[in-house]
Amino acid sequence: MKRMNSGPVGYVSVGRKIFNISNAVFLFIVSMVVLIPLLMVIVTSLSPDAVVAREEYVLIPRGITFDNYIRIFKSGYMSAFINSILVTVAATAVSMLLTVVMGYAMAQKDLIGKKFLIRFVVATMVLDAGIIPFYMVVKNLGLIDSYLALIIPAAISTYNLILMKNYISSIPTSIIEAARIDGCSELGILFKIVLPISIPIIAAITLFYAVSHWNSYLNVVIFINDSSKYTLQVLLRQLVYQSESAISSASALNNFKMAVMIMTMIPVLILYPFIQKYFISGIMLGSVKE
Amino acid sequence: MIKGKKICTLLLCSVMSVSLLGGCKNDKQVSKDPNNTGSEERVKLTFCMSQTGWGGEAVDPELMKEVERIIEEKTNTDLTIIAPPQSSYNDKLNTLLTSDIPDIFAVRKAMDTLQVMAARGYTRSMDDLIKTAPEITSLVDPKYLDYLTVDGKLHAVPMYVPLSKVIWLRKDVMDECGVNLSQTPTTEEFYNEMKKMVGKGVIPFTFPKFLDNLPFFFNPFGAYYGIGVDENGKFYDGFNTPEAKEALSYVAKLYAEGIWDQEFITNENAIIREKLFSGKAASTLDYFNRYIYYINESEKVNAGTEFVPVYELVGPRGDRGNLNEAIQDVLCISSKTKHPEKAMEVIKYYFYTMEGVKLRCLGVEGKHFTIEDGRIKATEKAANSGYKSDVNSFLLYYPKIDNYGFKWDETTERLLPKQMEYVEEANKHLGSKYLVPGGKSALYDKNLSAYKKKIDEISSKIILGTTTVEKGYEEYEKFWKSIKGDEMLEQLNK
Repeated sequence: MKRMNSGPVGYVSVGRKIFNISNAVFLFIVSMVVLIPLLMVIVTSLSPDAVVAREEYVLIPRGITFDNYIRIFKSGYMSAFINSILVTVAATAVSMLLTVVMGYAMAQKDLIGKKFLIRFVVATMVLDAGIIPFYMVVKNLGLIDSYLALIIPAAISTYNLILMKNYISSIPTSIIEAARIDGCSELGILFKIVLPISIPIIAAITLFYAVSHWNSYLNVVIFINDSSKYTLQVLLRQLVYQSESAISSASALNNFKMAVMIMTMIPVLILYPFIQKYFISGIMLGSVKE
Repeated sequence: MIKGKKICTLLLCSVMSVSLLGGCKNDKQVSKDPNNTGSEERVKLTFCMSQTGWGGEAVDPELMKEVERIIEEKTNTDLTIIAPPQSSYNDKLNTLLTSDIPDIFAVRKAMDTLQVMAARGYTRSMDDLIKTAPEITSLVDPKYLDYLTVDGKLHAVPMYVPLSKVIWLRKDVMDECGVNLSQTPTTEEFYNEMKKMVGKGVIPFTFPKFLDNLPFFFNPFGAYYGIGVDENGKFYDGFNTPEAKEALSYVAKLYAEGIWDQEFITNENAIIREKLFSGKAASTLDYFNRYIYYINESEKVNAGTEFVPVYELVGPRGDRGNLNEAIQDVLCISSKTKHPEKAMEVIKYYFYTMEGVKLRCLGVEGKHFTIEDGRIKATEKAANSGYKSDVNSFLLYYPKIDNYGFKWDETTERLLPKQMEYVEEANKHLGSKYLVPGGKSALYDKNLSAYKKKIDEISSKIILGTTTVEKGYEEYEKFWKSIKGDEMLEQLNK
């Protein structure tokens, strides 16, 4: 087989050098496109009002102040943060439990009514009655103004369920049959055989659910009436948009809005590095078919 | 064994499905009999209003509870406050109205939406209640109560005084560029003077993306931005008139020549204000009570200057008038409430008494603010939750406060007389505002939203120059035919 880079070991051809340089330049440009706005957000959030009001963009810090972050922390951030954590952890746990169990069931070849069940589930991705019927169902279940309204109705995402089902379907049946022969129950197979093998997809779907529940805004506004139960997204959006009212005299500068953006990103940014390796492999593994 | 497990699984799934479907039943039960109006029991009411309406715009739940407590004490009620964030207020209200109509609720843009809400049966007539409300009838001009009638019956009361907008200009930029504008210039004078600021590193005139602010520039040409009423009392399409085309051509000229903010189509209200007080823009259109606000905000960012108003433009044929928003936000009582009198009592207390207005604008002493050396100071908790103690907010309400019980800061005390002068003068230059009754034309009720979107769309295209006036109106006329506009006017004029 002819090597592309023919020559002594360590020799790099001119073409390869050009490619490496072009590649590096391209990736540098792409990373700048991502990093510069992020830098602008961070620097603006730390800039005093006078600087932000005068400049269109602030990339180089001209004075640093933490006033906006202090204001966020003192604005009820911690109680809203705790509400968000509670809802996210509980909702993600419930969602994962139900998704794993249902994904396992749907992955069984001999499941009665499997085709109908799959079509029924997929139909929910396409058909959506809208917010009013959704509200009426939640109301008639007596869940209004309760965190259960944020957990139960949105417990299973069809997309994540299909990912889980596909991944479990890709597990060799010989492993499962061997466990059955050894006398393992179905629950035992699920928790002792399937789950340990499915760590990548579980990590990925956990992240999807966690981010989705963390960012949930409209459901909180629609289903929760008591403002002491509002989550972080609602509190921070209100602080940012106070100045948007036609008659409000609240101040309108961007530095506070940028500080809010940073504070909402931080929890997800902290979580992501721990499950990054599972996230990327999990996405692809879930799509493999038998 | 396996077969048995399969059957069990199937039964379990069936039970889950049935229980989920069971949740879809109509809830006809009355959960409790809550409104025993024995002398010692408080009447339970739900009150829906945006989160910033409970004491100086503070959004802290505990501070809101303090305001709730005071209202309950004063009106002998047990309130459940539903305070959604401002940006999602309409979504929340529209959802609640489908099933759990709050006893009292605020409606925004009432001139457009109240008629539809009443037609759908969400609101209760207040004719009987208003007779026992001298606090309201003594303060509100009957003309404005007429705006809130549906089929001859009053369905809401105003939350604020009639609002209007004027142009606010920075004096420093005017002086620097040699701009000399009167307070009621002609359209020609406005164009010529504002042109002096083009290319001077400042936006001569910034404008919000909300095109329902265009009436300020329609009124001088004798045009009306929407369905108007002619001199014979007949409804007509104000947007499709030679005068409206002339107005749009004028605005398009301002845009094309760099007088009008080139990025106006993305401007939120907060952005136009920031541009003006920071000095990036020389002028903008904003409410009549913004004088002290702009002085203060410009000082904070080291861009202090005097601000002067332009109350209206005068057109080529002498037509004039500022942007008259009339009644924007109103308070309604639910058609399903069991205690309309108590609901009215809450409204009267919180919006039409001096004590209630102070509570709404300032909050509770000791919780939202303290008085130190005779001057008001926000508590730390309030300050960090968006609290504002602002004399401008008092100007929005009907009861006029003669004694606040404290002094404002020195700047406010110094500027207040001038602010009041501007407010009074602005009210002398009100532009036209017409009410189209709901429930009279099914086509109008059905197409109102699409109509408003279309006139905004055509206006923005003409202003931005992406289409000419002729082509824009060709497209508009096709739309008018598609919604059977002529038939709609016939129904309105019956």
